[in-house]
Amino acid sequence: MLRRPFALFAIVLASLWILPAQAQEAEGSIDAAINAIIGPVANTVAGIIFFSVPVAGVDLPLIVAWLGIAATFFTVYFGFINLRSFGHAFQLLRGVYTNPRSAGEISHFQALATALSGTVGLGNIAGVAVAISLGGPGATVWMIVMGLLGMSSKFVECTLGVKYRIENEDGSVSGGAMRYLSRNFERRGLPGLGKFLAAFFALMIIGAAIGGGNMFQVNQAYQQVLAVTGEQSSFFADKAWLFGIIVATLVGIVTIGGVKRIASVTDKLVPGMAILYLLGGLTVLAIHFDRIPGAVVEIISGAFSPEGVAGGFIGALIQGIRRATFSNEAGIGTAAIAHSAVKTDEPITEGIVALHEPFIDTVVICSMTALVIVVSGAYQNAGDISGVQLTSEAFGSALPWFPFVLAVAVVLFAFSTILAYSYYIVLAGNYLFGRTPRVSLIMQIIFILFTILGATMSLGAVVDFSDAMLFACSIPNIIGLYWFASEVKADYKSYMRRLKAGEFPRFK
Amino acid sequence: MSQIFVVGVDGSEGSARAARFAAERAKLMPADLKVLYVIDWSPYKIYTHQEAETRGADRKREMAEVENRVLQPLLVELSRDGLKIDGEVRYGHPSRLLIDYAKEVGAQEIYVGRQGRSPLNLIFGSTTSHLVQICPIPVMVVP
Repeated sequence: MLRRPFALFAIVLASLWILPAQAQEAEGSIDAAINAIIGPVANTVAGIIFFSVPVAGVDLPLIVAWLGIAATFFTVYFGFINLRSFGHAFQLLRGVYTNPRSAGEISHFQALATALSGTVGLGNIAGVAVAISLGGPGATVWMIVMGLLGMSSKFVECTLGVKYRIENEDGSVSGGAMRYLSRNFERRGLPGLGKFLAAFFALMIIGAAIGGGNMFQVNQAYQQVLAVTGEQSSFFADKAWLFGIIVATLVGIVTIGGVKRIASVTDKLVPGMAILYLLGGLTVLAIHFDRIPGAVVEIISGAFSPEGVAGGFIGALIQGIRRATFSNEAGIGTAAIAHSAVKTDEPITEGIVALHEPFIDTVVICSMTALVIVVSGAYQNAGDISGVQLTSEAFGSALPWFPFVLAVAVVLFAFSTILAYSYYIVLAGNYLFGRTPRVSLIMQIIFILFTILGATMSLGAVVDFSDAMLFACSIPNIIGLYWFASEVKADYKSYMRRLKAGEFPRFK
Repeated sequence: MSQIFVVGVDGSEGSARAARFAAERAKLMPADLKVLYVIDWSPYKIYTHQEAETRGADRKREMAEVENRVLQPLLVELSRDGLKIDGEVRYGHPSRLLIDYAKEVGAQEIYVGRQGRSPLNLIFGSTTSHLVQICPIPVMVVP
């Protein structure tokens, strides 16, 4: 059983190594050829999802408004739960209410850490740079605001993720948006709607996994590796496909080859890398200490009256919301998958713990990136550089050696996010086409093929396609969140009442 | 009221020796013997998505494995001669868990082997040395 997929994988890989090499001899740049074929397709998809209406003379994509309105609604509807229950989340993470006898199961901390390994990625490093180059420094404010509001969307989806997960007989669990959409609508006598929304979600998450969870990550990792190995003189210059194949091979070894050790090691390194990244950011801020007040003024004034930004105020707002959501995935429904592995009898507790996810991701890590970029002034004369190159330049202006550290961090972040999405795509495939090894294998092969494409494409096309597919997940997901909001509110009230009454024993 | 001894085991030869020694002592006292198998585990260890999904299943499997392979054979071997003995498998930080367990069952003494399973602690097991430093009740280290 195990041998056949592996042999197939080996053949696919071998052909990947041989074919491009031949093709390259024939036509010069394989990268350009791939761009020419995939680019128009990506643009068409992005065009549909980002259907825009003119607001105050600016094209406002409806999907961006959809995300922003949902996050605001849940924040108000749950009485600013993002702020009020933030402290309680620390108690839950420390295990104050966790019975030591359940040790060996996934703790709140572990569920959060696993979810973060999927969300903390290139969105935090490269995405922020995109926001600032397109929306000006002011986009930072809207990113942070959206990060704070997104905490509430995350609370709702992760609570539902745990509540409607399926606990299999062997003790494993499967949860996530597909489960709560199908099971909760069925419970409410609308099985057809539930099935449709869940299938829609599964289909969109396949696209999101291919785009934001894969192509964007490998694309930006390649850019950074290229930058630190000597730009045009780099071995990898004009060999994006080769970088893509290397990453795809590693991903394939883990997902198809079953070498789980690589994944474990990567996920263990990611938190350390995140801390290193934050320390690097703090060092840059310390070096440019005198520029901080000016940068803060620039960011705040830019949020309300941005100069020279396409679309002015609305333009900055759109970029802030897009990049925050891309990074923390609040309202998208993806993180509910990781959170539902937690061991708890109270789904609300995981929702509360999940508040920390957009906070750490966006309010802490993204803000650090933004501050470094603005303080360094790198964005002002950036010319045509964007994405991770801009972030790298900003760090490099104060710490010339940091881009090398960043390259390592970027590759690790990208790899852990890619692995998380390689898991999501299999779950989605299994939901749509059946839980068989063949379906899983096909999804994994499709996934790694796009890893290679992602490396070769231009940033703009990748960003638009990635955003489009990821944000499309929010259409079925947020419909469900609105529908189930009153149920979650009742659960939340009941939980808080019992918590205050001291019904949950404390173990610490 | 008879005395209660706790012995910590981890599947190593050293811990089996400690259990046999503790059984001899318990018979002389006489005392009841409680065997605790600790699976080293931290609530802060990081898991991948796949590991997280199957964690519950893996835990069941690990516990059953340890129960059948180590704990039950040991209990059968030591329960001869009418010694009152039982055992349990738990997850946690080995030395802290042993102390908590001893408190929970009201034990007067803890028995452990000198070396654990980890090949790195050749001189003195780190669990044992930590236990000796922080344990509020007597600890017998069996070489």
